[in-house]
Amino acid sequence: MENEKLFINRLIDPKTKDKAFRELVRLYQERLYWHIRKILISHEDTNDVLQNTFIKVHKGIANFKGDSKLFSWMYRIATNESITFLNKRAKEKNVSIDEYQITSIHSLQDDILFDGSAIQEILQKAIQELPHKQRLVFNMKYFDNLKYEEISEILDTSVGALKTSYFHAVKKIKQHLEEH
Amino acid sequence: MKQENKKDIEALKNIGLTSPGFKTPENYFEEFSDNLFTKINEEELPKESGFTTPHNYFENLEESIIASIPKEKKKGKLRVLYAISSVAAALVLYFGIANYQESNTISFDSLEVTDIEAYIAAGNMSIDAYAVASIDADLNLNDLVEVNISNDELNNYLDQVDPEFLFLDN
Repeated sequence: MENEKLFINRLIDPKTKDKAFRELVRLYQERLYWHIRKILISHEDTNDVLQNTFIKVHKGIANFKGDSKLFSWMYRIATNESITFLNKRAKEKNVSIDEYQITSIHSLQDDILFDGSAIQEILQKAIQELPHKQRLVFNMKYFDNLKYEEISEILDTSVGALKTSYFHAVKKIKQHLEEH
Repeated sequence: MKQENKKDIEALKNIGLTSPGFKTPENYFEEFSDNLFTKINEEELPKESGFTTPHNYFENLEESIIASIPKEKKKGKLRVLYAISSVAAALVLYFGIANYQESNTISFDSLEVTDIEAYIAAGNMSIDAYAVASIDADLNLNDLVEVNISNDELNNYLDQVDPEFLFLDN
């Protein structure tokens, strides 16, 4: 990929912004999609939040200061949009965000866009039972293979705290799988 | 802690837990970009149509609609006359029935043919031609009415009349 600064300039320049933005979407849509999907579970909800994420990026790119990588910035927007979405849904149902995520995983078996094995289904249920922050860290580290430094930038949490979160998340998931 | 964690992670991957198991609809990513740009462009369009209405338009609309509805003709007097005549007819019917019950009972034979003809002519009884025909298939028209038409007159009539007119209505 071209130098990130040059790319950002193309994203800001009115003459080149549309074409550059299409490239940006093409480059990151899948990664952002799967990140959001692991948080929201439902494809429809994920599609809505992914669109909102890119719209925010489109509107905010002119103000992007470049103090983090472009992808980290987008990832952060996607994470915040997903959490905002979950909070809104949980509030509508008058439950906590953790309770809402546990109930949403129960319909996984009937979801035609889930073709995981029985053990993958158990894994997803185990992940949803993790505290909110541990869930995010586990998904980003285990499935997305992000470095702790990248996750730290996205979640604005120290690397040490992230390592501890990840350690506990893995332990709990392993225990859950053994029990089920 | 690091070593233990590494072993646990390896154990998870060894049992096949390398992906979350989700999938997307067909062609989702191919179409995502176009759908996104439709939404972005939509958001950049003006939210209002630009149309406005005259001052106080909706406040006055109801009155204006009511005023433009044609008024119905006053039927007050006719309604009173109708009511009075209905009551009178009911009274006549009542006393007529009461008096009649004291005298002879009605039988079909006591009815005059002209009364029956008048009843049918007033449209009080619909006669289905097929129903009449089914009463007696051997019944001859001459048995019902006196036919004084010659064959020549009949043929002339048939030549002139529209055949559709002769078909029985179902």
